[in-house]
Amino acid sequence: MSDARDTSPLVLIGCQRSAGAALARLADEGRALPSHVRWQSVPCGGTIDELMILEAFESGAERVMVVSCAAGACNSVVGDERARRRTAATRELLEAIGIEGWRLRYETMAPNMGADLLRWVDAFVAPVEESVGEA
Amino acid sequence: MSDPRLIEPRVMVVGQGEDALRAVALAEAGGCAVVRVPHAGANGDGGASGARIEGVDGCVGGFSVRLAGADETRVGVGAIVVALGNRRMPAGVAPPKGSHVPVMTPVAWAEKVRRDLREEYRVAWARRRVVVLLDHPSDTPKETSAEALRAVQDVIALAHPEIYVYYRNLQVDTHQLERLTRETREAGVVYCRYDQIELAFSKDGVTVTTEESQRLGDLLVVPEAIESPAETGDLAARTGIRVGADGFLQDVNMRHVGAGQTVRRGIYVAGRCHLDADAETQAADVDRVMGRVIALLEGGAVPLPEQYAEVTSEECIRCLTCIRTCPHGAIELRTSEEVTAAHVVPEACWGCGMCVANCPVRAITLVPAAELVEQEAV
Amino acid sequence: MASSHTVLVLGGGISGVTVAQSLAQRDVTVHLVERASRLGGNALRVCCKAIEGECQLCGGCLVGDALQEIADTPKVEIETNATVTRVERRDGGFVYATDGAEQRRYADAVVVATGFQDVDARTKGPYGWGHYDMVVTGREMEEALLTQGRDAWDGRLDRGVAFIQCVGSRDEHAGRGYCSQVCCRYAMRLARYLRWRKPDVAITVFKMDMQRAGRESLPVWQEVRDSIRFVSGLPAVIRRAADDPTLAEFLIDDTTGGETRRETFGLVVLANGIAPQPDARAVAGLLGVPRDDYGFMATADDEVSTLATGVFVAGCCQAPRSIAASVFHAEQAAEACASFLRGAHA
Repeated sequence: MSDARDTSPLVLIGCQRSAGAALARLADEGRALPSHVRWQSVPCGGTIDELMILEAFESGAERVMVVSCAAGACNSVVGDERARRRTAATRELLEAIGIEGWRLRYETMAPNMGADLLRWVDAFVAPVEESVGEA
Repeated sequence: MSDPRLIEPRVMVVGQGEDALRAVALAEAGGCAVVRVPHAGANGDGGASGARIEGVDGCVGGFSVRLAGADETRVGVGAIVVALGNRRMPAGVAPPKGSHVPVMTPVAWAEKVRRDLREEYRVAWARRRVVVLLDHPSDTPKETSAEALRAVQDVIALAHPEIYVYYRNLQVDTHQLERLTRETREAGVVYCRYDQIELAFSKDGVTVTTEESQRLGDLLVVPEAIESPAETGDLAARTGIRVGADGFLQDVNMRHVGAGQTVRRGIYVAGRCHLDADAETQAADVDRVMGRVIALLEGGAVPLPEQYAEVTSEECIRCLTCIRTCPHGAIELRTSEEVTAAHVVPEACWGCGMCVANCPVRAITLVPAAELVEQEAV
Repeated sequence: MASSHTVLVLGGGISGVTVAQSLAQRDVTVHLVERASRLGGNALRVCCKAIEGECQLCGGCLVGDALQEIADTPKVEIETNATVTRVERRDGGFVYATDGAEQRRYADAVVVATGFQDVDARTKGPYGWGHYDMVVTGREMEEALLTQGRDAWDGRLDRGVAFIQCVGSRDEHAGRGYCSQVCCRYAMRLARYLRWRKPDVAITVFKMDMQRAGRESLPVWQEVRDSIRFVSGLPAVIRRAADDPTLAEFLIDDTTGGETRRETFGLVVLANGIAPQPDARAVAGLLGVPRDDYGFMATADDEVSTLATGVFVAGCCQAPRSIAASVFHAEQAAEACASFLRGAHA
């Protein structure tokens, strides 16, 4: 298992009430995302769609993490559902065009989960290669 | 930028119980014109009477409400307060046929003691053993358990039966409940916790058996259970409010819990129809919502949100996707200078951007804040 | 409503911030004074307890929303790292100064929102908090989940977890006969959360009476009521188990079962409650506000007006309450304050 930290470009697309608020709190505590992570804020997870994610990859990201509020906590009620569905649909698109699905992740969080957000970003690495074996 | 939206200086109060009456009184005291719509019996059974809502068009500040069963078929109001109340149901403790043990609600019991004014009745009451049964067969809601303890207090002031309150988990986390429990305990009421309970009815009374004790009571007081009013689903569908898994307005979302403001700006829920709490807390909720509504109507103009969506009407293809997508009911079709296009009412918009993301021709943008804010991480 | 009124708000936790925001919406100018270096207060120490990406409605995220909103509110002047040191009644209002500032300021009314401190678990000496490392408080559990991440306790759930409710609450002997309101709420959610992290964890909740709380707690309560073990009765003493000093042991008098038995646990969580701030007396004295028997700010029946004219209270400094209830209370306080301003200066 590789312990090397992946510092290839990562785009974090998150809603302002979840990841946005968490990053503001982290900033108050003197902590921030690592420099290889580009932060992209949206007003609600419900605005995140295939185009936005694909554009992130197009702009040079090798990994994209999508973050929204948890189910039942979205200020606009259905935003998290949309974010989850759209991310899953985009993952299918990516795989269809030859980009590995693991490069796109979806997580839910609250403004007080900043510590977890930083850990997710650090843990966002390629899965261990399965050894080639019998089907 | 659209013109500032002036507010129709009238509030509609929906419902006919205690909460609705309280809301109406507060509105009138605050100098607001009020339209009352009972919306009773509209549960699909055809038992409707009085005015009820057919649909709500428009947005905060200028709702246009379609009514049935009323003198006017359309009424313009600036805000709507839904105070449907709740519905009491018998708790489901019934003595077998032929048993003479009275089973009463707390209110009926206290009322009976009040009516038994003659001295010989008072003496007879002193010999009685009253069992107040909470949390059986299911948890007693706070509203009716507070009512039960108030009835206990009322009875003690008039007569002196032995009173035993049986409970699984004594609720003391509101001021009123804490005070009632303490005061009745100090007055000699015996509180009995149980995990398992059995009731056996006989000609001598009802034998209450728990892990700790066995007692014979001759009067059983059982608080009512509570359900949402039958009209809830119908009203929710017609106003764009959501219903929670428990059947009460609105769905339980931490960002909306207790706020009174529903997902549709300008439509509020108040009191029992969305809260399970003792009467003081429910009344305070109505007060708070009405405070907001009166402040809104007094303000004259509806405040604008931080950012809102705006449709470029020339590009709109009238697919209605944005109208269907908006969870807040803030978008309508509007014709202006012979162009019909989707129009976002700024004051009703929450700035979530879902219409922006869903528009197939990208005809909508968020103003004044930018849609995407890119920041370099340090 | 004249827009020339100013209100001093003492305390920038979720209640103070909500009062300030509510007043600003009514066109009142607010001076919000917070002694810490940042706003947010105690609510910042609440962790997220979402399970499977689904919110458990604990309210910890509400402070994030409130802080984002207040940052963009021009009518609210925020002063952190400051305390109010002198207050005098003058000209129908209050003249005051904050430490380090020469300048005297004027306010038409004051709202106290100074919050609470945790009950010190050492007040239940027999539980051994501070001596035994397997005994922690609910606050410590939250803090670790918050700062270390949501897997902070995963490795400590293998030998049984006990929650003990009402630590420092509903205890007249300890001078705190009231219910702290939040401990049953957070214990239920934490218990459910731990079980989601490790489905085979053995959890027991030792309680007097589980408070079912409001509508937002009902789904949580309904799920744990029949699936987590509740024992009616609190242990008198916690000791190290004789055969394994890393385990806590206690004798339990099950008040409904009528028997006494000994049980061991690898982790004991004391659900400690809410107590008045250590400087509550000084703050009350500064404003001439009486306190109740438990040391909270005393009010009239409306729970927001103190007996000192023009001084209102919001949040836990008046009585223990949950985060959502504090927001509710703060809005009530703002309403009462606004009413006062309208009436007194009509």
